[in-house]
Amino acid sequence: MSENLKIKIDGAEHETAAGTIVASALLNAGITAFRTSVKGEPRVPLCGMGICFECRVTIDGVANVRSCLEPVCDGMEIETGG
Amino acid sequence: MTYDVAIIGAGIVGAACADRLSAEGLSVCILDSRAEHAPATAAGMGHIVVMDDSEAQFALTSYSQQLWNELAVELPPEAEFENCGTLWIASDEEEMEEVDRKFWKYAEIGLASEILDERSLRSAEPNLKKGLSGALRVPGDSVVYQPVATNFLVNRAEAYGASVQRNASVSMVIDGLVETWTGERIEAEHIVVAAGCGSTLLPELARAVRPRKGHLVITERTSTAVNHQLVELGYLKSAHGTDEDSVAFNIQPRKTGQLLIGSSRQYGSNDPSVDFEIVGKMMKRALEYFPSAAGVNATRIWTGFRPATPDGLPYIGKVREYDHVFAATGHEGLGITTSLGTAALIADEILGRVSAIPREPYSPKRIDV
Amino acid sequence: MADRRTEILVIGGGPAGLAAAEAASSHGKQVTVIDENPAFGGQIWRAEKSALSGKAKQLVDVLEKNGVEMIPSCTCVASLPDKRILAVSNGKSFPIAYDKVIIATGARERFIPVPGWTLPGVFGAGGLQALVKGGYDIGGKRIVVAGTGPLLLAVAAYLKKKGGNVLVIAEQASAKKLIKLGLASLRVPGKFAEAMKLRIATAGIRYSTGSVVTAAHGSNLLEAVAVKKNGRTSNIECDLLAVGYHLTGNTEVALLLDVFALEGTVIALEGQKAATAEDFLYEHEDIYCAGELAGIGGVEKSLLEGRRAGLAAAGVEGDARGFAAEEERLGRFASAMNRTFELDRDTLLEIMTDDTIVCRCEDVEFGKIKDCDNFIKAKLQTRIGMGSCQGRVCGSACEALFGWGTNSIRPPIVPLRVSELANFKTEKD
Repeated sequence: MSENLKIKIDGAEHETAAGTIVASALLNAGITAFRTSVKGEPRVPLCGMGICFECRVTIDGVANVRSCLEPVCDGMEIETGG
Repeated sequence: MTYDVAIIGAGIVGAACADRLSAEGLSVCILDSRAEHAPATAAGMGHIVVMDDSEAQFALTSYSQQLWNELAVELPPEAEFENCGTLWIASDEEEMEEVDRKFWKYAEIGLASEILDERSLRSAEPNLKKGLSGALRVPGDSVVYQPVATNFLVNRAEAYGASVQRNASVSMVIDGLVETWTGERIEAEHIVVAAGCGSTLLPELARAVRPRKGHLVITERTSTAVNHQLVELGYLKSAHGTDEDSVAFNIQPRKTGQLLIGSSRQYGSNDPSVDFEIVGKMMKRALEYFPSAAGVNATRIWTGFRPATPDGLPYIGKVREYDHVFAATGHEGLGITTSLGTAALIADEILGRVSAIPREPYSPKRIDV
Repeated sequence: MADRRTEILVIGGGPAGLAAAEAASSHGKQVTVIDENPAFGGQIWRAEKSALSGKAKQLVDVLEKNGVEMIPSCTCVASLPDKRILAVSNGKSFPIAYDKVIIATGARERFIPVPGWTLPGVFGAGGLQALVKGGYDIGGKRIVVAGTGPLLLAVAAYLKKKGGNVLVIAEQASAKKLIKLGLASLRVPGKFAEAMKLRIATAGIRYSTGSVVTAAHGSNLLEAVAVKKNGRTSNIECDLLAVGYHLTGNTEVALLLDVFALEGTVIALEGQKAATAEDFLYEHEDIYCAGELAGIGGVEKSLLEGRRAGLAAAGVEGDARGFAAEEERLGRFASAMNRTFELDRDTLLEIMTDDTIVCRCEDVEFGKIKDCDNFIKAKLQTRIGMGSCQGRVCGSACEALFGWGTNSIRPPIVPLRVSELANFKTEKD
């Protein structure tokens, strides 16, 4: 499982190991605002297991996907900060 | 003690009555069977809308709207009162004729409206589907977040001295006396029954008020813009006017950026659970008019029961066979809009005054024996 | 196309769900297991990089041999009439009809708000562990592990193993309570050894009892954590805070199916049949609950309950008996554990400030809700619990802070696209 996949985070290319969860890949990429809260605060995942919805991002054009439940795929495009 | 007025039901109609009557200096007691919220009020859409299915409906809704505009300045920001107006959307030429008729009807009482053709409708609401014929824009209509507005009215009534009793489920009403299931007795000179579908505790109303189930869907916050409350005019032709199950397109923009999507009408069910078959039809209908909602996430679906009457008008006023028992119910889908007008009419009747609009069309004395 | 149909539907593929599926399928029943995660095993058997852990694999292999249908990344979002649920997988929704359903949705961490807990850098304890298992690299990061519960030691040991610099484990329970629990664990084989193993794995990390996180500090990122012990507060500079307050059951699916729940636990009776809301004194014919949502108690209890629910649902009542002694022993330990990690309401309320965010979805602050009398009122007046998580985080916080019951869940329990709702169709046969 040492195979690396190419993903795009906010337009920038990143390499990540297969099997990595999207939320973890975003944290490794230094993302500190997965989403912006109602009052404008940056938020990152809290629960890591699909409960808190803080990790919502846009994946391949689909908005509000819980990134902690999605493994990365080759060529995946992720947008954060929404 | 003996109260001047006991009000059964702390939904928006009961709350408005309590506010109005206690502001007039009467001693008021409000009873509600729930610990907190009145279910039909909480489930509603909060569209403050002038409707003209009948002359009497037109009179009550337009009068009530004036009262809402006066109240609006006092509401807290959390009540999210927004004068966004309504667009009555015509999908074909036949419906455009209805737009025209409505325009002149509203003009009769000096109520401003504007006819939008296909192109101006597109620019007013770019996310509606292409090819709709046009719309009537009624700029005076508004939306409100009614749980907060209701709470405001109850709190204000309390500030005027009203007493609020929660978890007080009423078992019996006779002239001068309300009794709860726990055996508590409240004496009051006048009794107002404003308990929505629960108003059937009066046998007279039980003959006429029927629950009509509705569903609403709310979405996540979205950048898909909606600028007015959007309602299809076709609902006039749809089964909303009959006893059949029916759906109609209705979208409300919330101040939060969420979309509130309706609507459905179903008789004959007392089951509050969500019926995904009818929700499916509702959403299909919504997407026919508003395809951009397709990719938006729905976060919650809920149901409520509108208190419906055979002739589509509410029961406001003294109930037959009683001397001092009044109904304030049967508003079906217009309870939020007409709550304030209803309260004014009830106050006028109790205090023996002439009202701003004739009260007689709403009298429960019209119920068939 | 006819609806998907199964004899026994298992919702949740953690230890309880897998054990239930194994028991039922080994007795010839047709079983379907769905799980919201991409890999089976639940939270306790979560492996690294979306793989199956060894223990999960053992069971999954048996299930595959028994012909059990396994659907990962699949969530139950609503209950439908005629014993069906509405499931969603990869954005597509479909009904699943069942004869019997076993709810084994497990538990989540209980989160308690503190000032600053919304700062990036603050994670749940199990939350950070899950993200590290998912591939988050914490090498060299200074970490405070805090909150309460047996999970803290396991998390600290794992984070240390993965290169994290764990500065301290701040456990709110007192040393006295923990010693009592240690004695109770001697009566359950394996429990004491497990605890000792974890203590060895966390050797060198300070384990501070009676210690409560009172604030997270930082401007845009976490910079320090305030920890209060014996009335004195110290600031600990760190990069990450992993904080969780024991566990609470994932009761949403059970509530959808009208199962009665109280304080994060469903009411399950003999054989783990669920009691429904209409009359929780009578067991429901076709609904079974197993595992953490029927009472927090650890993996052994979950396996036992899952097995028992699977047998009962398969109609093998004879085999379902004979668990009593083991169940009672595990149950006693579970109660001792839950008492140890109980939270003290006054301590928690003391930490709150009016501007502490309680509901992270809607950014509703403590000051806005503190005078409400119940969760429904707070919800309607302040929007707390009205966001995407539907109160999964703030609901259990409010239970701990105010004692409010928060059994208000509306379908879909996970957001679903309007287009999918519009596509809803079903054929009952």
